Amino acid sequence: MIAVGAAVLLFGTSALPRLSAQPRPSGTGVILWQGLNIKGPGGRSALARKRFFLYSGTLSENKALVDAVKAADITSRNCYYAGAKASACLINWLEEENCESPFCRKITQDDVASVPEFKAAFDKGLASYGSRSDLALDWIFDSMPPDLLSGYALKRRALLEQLQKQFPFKQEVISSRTAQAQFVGLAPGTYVVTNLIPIEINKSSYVWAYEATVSANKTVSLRPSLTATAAGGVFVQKELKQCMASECPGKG
Amino acid sequence: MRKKIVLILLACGAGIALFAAGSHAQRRTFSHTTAAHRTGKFASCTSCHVLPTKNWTSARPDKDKPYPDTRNFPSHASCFGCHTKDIYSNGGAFCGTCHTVPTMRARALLSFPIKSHARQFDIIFPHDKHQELIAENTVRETPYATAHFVNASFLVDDKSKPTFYNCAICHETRTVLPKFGTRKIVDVKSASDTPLPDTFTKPIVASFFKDSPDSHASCFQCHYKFQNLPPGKNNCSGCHVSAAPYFEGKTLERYSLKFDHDRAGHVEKDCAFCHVRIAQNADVRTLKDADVPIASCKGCHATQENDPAKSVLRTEVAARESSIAEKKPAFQCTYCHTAAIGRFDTPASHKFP
Repeated sequence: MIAVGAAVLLFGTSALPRLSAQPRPSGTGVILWQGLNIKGPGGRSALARKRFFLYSGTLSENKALVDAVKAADITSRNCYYAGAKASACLINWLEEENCESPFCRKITQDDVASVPEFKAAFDKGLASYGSRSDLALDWIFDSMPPDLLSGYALKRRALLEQLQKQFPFKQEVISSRTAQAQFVGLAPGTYVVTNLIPIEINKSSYVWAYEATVSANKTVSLRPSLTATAAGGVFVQKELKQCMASECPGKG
Repeated sequence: MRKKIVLILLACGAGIALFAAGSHAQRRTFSHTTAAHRTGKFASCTSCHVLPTKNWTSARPDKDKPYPDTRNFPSHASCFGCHTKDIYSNGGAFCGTCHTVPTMRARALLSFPIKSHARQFDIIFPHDKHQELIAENTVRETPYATAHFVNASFLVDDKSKPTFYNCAICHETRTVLPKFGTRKIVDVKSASDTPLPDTFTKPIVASFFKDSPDSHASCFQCHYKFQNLPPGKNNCSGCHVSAAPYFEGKTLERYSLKFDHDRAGHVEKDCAFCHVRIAQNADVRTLKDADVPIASCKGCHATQENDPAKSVLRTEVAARESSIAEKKPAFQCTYCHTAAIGRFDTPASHKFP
């Protein structure tokens, strides 16, 4: 009888579709940084394509980090390129679209005509690539001086690496075109999100460090502001010195 | 007489064996890992490889416009110093390493690189270091509003609009349908042993996929002759690292074969909106699991809106759970996945509180 019962049980269960026997595991959460409201020159999103960093713990647990980011100073883009002897036209080209370096956008023949550094690089390329103007234009970065091409980015990176060494981060993301950045796969807990090194917007630098509490399978949104701190947030604004006028003669 | 014939045959046999052995040794695929090929003066790739080679202006097999590139084998001078004996023995069989006909009178060269040979190098591309390049997506410039890319007003063809660099410098939308397949799932149980037949609202076409560089074309825009590389990386081995010989698979594998990069709702999005992990990655070989976490999808497809596409993640996860609770055949998730993936247990990341 018992054997029959056991057989029925065995047969019965094997006839059912295979069911997931896993208990519902605890999930992970997401922090969504939404910076679209922060505008820069020409009303463009100032926090698109910027790096943001995630640290475990509360703001008070990360006091040393917070003190370091408050104290961090950057050279303005204008002063860096002025110091690198860039022309006003190159600085104007960068500022027009809020670019940190010439890598930012495609250099056109019009840009070559109006920016002396681009003209010099283009001519150098023509000599190197058998008078191929398409190559001279497409490969223009290969012909530009490193300090104008990547010097500013490297300077910022050096500061970033210094801070990262002191304060290793948990995650790093780069924000999208719409100034959104997602930190995913987070165990429930409290975290700090910060840009770590100041971001230049309209001749001032800004640092944010916001706290967020993450729950399983939920998304927490953080929205920075240019004028006020979010509850539980750190906000630092400093005016940035400008070294050179960036009007480009002859540019319409 | 018989002895003579036997001796002649033995001698011929020995000669053939010797020739074959010698030829085999000298026709081996060139190995970059041979000690003699990577030490001393040969430690540097440029001791043999020239950039650009003299033939860079000739038509390229990949149909790209010619650009300065390494497009040929090293010159004789690279080999003759050590292999003089090999060149003058066995009728020049050694020459078959690079030439179509393995003789000392060889002229025609094999196509460079030799596609039938296993690759000996991996490419290291640190996406995290290249983040600075990845700027705004370009907005399509069209003279008229188009049905699938709706704007509030007519767009005027504005040639003065800048083109920002983004991931598309290297990853262009494919125009030829590649071989594609399903990425393997490990350590997850199948909720159903009977996969449903796959249906597609839109058949898989080339534009579903993006390609990856397979030449120096995009790299040399910034790094020709090792420009803009940090110290220690300003040579070929800065990007090309020695690897156990392998043949590169041509099949593109995905968890979500139904994802269409080109459809409305996806095409306007910035790459970095979904491809979150790659921006932190220094070596793609170490990237386990999907580059796009499900959290990226949830933003648009797990809403509470009364639109099937916008709430599909919630609907399908709920349907799976209720099919299990009601002891019915497990619901299979097919909006994004083919049955090869959609029949597996729902990952914790996909679930909702």
